[in-house]
Amino acid sequence: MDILVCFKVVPDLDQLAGSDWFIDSLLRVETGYAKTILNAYDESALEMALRFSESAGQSVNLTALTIGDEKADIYLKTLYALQFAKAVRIENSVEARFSPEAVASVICRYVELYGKQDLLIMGRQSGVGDNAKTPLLAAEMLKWPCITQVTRVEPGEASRLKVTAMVDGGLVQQTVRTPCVLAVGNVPNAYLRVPTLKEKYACGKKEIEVMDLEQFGLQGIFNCFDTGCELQGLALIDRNREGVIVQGATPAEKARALYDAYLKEWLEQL
Amino acid sequence: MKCTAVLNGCSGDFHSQAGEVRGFLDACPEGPTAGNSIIFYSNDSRKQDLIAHSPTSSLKMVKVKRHYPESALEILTTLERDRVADLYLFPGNFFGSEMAVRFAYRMGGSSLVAVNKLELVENQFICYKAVYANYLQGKFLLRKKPFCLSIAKGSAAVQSSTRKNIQEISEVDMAGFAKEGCGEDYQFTEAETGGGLEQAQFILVAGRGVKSKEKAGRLKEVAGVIGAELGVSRPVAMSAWTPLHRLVGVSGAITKPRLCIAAGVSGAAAFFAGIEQSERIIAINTDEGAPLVQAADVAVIDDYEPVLDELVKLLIRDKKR
Repeated sequence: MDILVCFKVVPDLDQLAGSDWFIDSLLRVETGYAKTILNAYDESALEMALRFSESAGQSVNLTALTIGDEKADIYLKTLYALQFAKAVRIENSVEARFSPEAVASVICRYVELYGKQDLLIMGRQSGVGDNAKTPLLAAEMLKWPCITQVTRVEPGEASRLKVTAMVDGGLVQQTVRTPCVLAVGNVPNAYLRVPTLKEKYACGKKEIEVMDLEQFGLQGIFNCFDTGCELQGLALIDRNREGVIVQGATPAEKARALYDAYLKEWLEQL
Repeated sequence: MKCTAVLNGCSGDFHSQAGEVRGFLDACPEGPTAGNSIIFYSNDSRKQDLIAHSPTSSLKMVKVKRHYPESALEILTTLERDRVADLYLFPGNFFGSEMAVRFAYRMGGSSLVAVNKLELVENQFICYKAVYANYLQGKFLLRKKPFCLSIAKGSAAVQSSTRKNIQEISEVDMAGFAKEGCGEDYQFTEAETGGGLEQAQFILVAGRGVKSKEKAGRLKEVAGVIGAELGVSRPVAMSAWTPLHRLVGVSGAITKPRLCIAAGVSGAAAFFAGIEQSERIIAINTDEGAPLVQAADVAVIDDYEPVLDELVKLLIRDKKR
């Protein structure tokens, strides 16, 4: 079975202080100085693919794909060490934060041109754009079924998968035929495992496959794709309240001050 | 400009979907008016209740075997092919967020997920939604009709009153339709509820500062003693220290309590979205620079455990009086 896992490397926006946010006149936001992380849902998708590979009684070829610049390479190297057969980066430094249609087009073109895939797994949403559209659009473009909010995937019989996913009001377990797209949601205990030094060393010289959008016939796609949605403004959301600090010498003293001055009355009003 | 609302009557949260759509449209006085609703349903015994809570007086009831997105999309696309509305409005649940995007693609339109505000300016739709992990508000102009939007969870004041002036009901029976290859052996298990975090008047929320499953368990006990519902931030839920239904934030519950005590929570924006509608917020955190301290009404800068222990003593003392 051939599985393509798509992931995105994003800035850790939680590290930015309020004064760090700067939006320029072209609505660009400088986040280059923030450390990068794997998008949380994509991280779960990568770990889910590794667990599936371990539990499958058949040969599974895992490919990891990302679109972006060389900041992603360290993550791709890690994925090689974790036994991904291929680690691919499609070079792009053009703004793509609000272009999920273009991102999905590139992913689909990769699937069409560079080998049949049985399963496409990715996180349901990523920070920065917060579009929550890429896996859905990829499924539509490929005309594959899509299961969203996936929490678990196991091998089934005869090109089928057993998929568990959250739905409104509960969980659904179902059998799905491949090919299909799985959009990964909240999955507890699905942080990406860490490779051992030995695993890292064994894959240290394995080359990341860096591809160019021209190889896909999609050069310029991120500049000219018409999403039908035009960004017209960005503004920092002000969430500050009074922020009164309760004083006291010990935790118990502070608790009593909090209770007497505020909490007792607020609880009575409930 | 009229819009069509699309709702999932197969799901137990139908009243909240319908109320959310009504609340959203009412909050946009210069925006579209609700024209028609399309309601998928599977259980005949719920049909009259669904009709009574419809967000519009004109509605189409579509009977399906059960809600399955692949089938629902085919049905919706077929039903609307010849009578496309300018705007389709979907609720902010999983159903709505998926359907808005996929339906827009099939209809050649444009979509946005989790829209918290809509304006009609010179006959153009301007939509607002949180971006950059909820730190920024984005303003978008929609250009390709039909516009398909899902509402941001918790952004609309839910109006769940019944409707007495239903004027037009049409019905379509698609219960025999099923898209092949999907949803075999479909088994639904109802979720364990979080005790109604979204309805709770008083919540205690815990963050990464909790540090272990045992301490999260202790907080559950504390919440019980003080009469609060326990919620947690994403790191706690993703570490499986509590069940997932206790997750608060954009990927969990959007709460609107009168009082929220946040213990050991730094206050990442994606989490804060889940408590920002609290009437009052108390933060307990060792770090005075944590974003939540600024976003709280009152803050205690200290380890949350001894502070909560003392608060519990005070509450028990006063209860005995």
